[in-house]
Amino acid sequence: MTYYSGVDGSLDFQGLPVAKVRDWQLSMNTDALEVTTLAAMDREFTTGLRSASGSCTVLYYNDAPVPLMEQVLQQGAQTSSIGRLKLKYGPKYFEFEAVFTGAGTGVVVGDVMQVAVQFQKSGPFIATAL
Amino acid sequence: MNSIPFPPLVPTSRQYTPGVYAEERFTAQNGAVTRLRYGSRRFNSTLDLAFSNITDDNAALIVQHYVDVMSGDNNATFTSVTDGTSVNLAVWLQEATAGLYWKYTEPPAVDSVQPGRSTVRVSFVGELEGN
Repeated sequence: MTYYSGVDGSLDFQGLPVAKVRDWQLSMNTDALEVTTLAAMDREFTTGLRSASGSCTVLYYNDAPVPLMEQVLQQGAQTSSIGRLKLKYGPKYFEFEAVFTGAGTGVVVGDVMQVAVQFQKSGPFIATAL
Repeated sequence: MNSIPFPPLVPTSRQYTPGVYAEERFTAQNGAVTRLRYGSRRFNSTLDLAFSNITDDNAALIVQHYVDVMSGDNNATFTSVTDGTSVNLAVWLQEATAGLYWKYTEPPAVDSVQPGRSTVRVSFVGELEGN
């Protein structure tokens, strides 16, 4: 039996580890496709399209979040509209391609500058180890 | 004329109108109405059906039924289409006693929802046969 916590977490972007990741989150969903007919008294469903989206927060340390921000802005060193992410916890991981939909940052007195990035999975998972 | 049964599918939505009578209506300037009635039987009843998120194989059955009915002097009959309604209303929907024959108004519209699933809409008109 193994618990995983923040110390086990990390994140790769385009195959390279991202430094100073504070957190990452991933939400996975499957649509419920209604197949209820007129003769039914209870709603019935089948599985529909799958999707996943998430976010991560990276401390602004030595330009660590810059590649992610460039992916959102579609400028700089990024070469594709799609980026590859690998969200890891211990030996387990989710690996997928994603569109980066947002990044937010700010400077606050008494706090370390950080960048929050949102992403939307594109296509199926490339690999998972759950 | 051959009667070809519709595939055994239950629709997601269903709309029926019982048709009209052959008549001509004249309205005088004072508002008085005169109707000339040309027949005692109603015709052009309509039945619109939707089958949401059915399997592609079932959608293919509907398309095949359209081809079978409309490629010859045929008409459609229904059984499962009236599931979920009373026997009395089902008699009307099937037009079993009115002497009307169900024909497709237009080809089935097949919307692909996702791999293996489609939504199909079909429309029928109940015609009096002019023999």
